[in-house]
Amino acid sequence: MKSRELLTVIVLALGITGAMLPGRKNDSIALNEREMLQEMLLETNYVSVDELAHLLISGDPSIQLIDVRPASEFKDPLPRAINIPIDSIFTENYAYLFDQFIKKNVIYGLDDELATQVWMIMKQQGFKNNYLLKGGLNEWNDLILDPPLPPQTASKDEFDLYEKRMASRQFFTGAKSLPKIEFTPIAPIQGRKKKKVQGGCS
Amino acid sequence: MKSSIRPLGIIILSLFGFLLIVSFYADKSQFELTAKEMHGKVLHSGYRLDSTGLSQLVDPILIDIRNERSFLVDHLDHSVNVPLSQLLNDESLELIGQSRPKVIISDERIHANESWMLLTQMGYDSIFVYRL
Repeated sequence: MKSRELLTVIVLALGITGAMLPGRKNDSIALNEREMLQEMLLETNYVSVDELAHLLISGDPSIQLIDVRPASEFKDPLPRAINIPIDSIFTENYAYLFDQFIKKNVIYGLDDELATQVWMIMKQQGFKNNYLLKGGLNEWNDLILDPPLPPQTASKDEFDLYEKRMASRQFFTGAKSLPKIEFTPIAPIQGRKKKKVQGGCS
Repeated sequence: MKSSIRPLGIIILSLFGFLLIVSFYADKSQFELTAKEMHGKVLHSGYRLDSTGLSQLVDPILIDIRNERSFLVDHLDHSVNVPLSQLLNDESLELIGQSRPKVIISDERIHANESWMLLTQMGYDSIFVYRL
C-alpha cells in the first residue's frame, strides 16, 4: 500500500512541476517562420483586383472586405467594406473577425504595405480565410475604375480584359459605358497583282 | 502488489520524460516577438527607402529577393540574389545576421514587406525595403 501512495505522490509532484514549466515563448504564434514563408509563397493567399471585381459582381455573399487604412484616411472604400484601422486591430474580440470559418476576408489598404502587415500578423496566429488584395485601392482605382486603353498593337486578350474592366467600371460607378472598341487586326500587306504581259507575239 | 506497481511507475516516468522532450523540440518557432509586439513595431517604424535613402546607407548589403531569372535580366550593382523561397536557408540567414544595414529589394511590394516582417520578427534588425 505504501508504495502505491509513494507513486501517487511522485505522479502528483511531476504533474505540478510540469504545469509550472514555462510554456512556449510565443503563445499567440501558431505558425513558425518556415510555415509562414510557405504561406507567403502560396499564390492562393492573394487576390488580384480583376478577381475581386468578378467576385463582387457575381454577388458572392461570403466576401468580407476589410479596409485597414487609418480612420482619418478612410474615404471612397470598396463597396460594403468595413474599416478596421491598423492601429486598432487588436480589439477585444478581433479573433471573431479575423478567424473566419465561412466568410472570406479580403484585406486591403491604399497600397500593399499596411494590408500586408495586418495579413502577416493574423496569418501567424493560425487564423483562417484571410486574403490579401494585390496592389490595394490604388490598383483598384487605376485598373478597374479607370482602366487604361491598351495600345493598338496589344493582343486580343488585352482588349478583352479592357472590355471586361470597362464593364466592371460601369457596374461599380454607374458610369455610361464607352462605345465598344472594335478589334481590327492590322490587314496583311498585299502584294501588287502581277500585270499580264501585254503585247508580244501570240 | 509491489511488483505490479513498479513497472507502472517506470512507464509513467518515461512517458513524462518523453512528453517533456517532445514539447521542448516540437514546433519550436524562432520568432523573437509575439504578434502583438510585432504589431506595435510596425506602427512605429519607417523601413521603406527611396533612392536617396538608399544612397545614404553606409556599406549596405543589397538582398534581391526576386527569382533567379529576373535577377539575371537586370539587377542593381553589388546586389546579392536570395530568392524568396531560400530566404531562411542557413547561408541566407548568415548573410542577414551581419550587423551591416540590409536592404531587401524586389519589384513585388507585397513580398518585400512580408520578408521585412518575417525577418524583423525573428529578431534581425536594421533591415530596410527598397522597391525597384
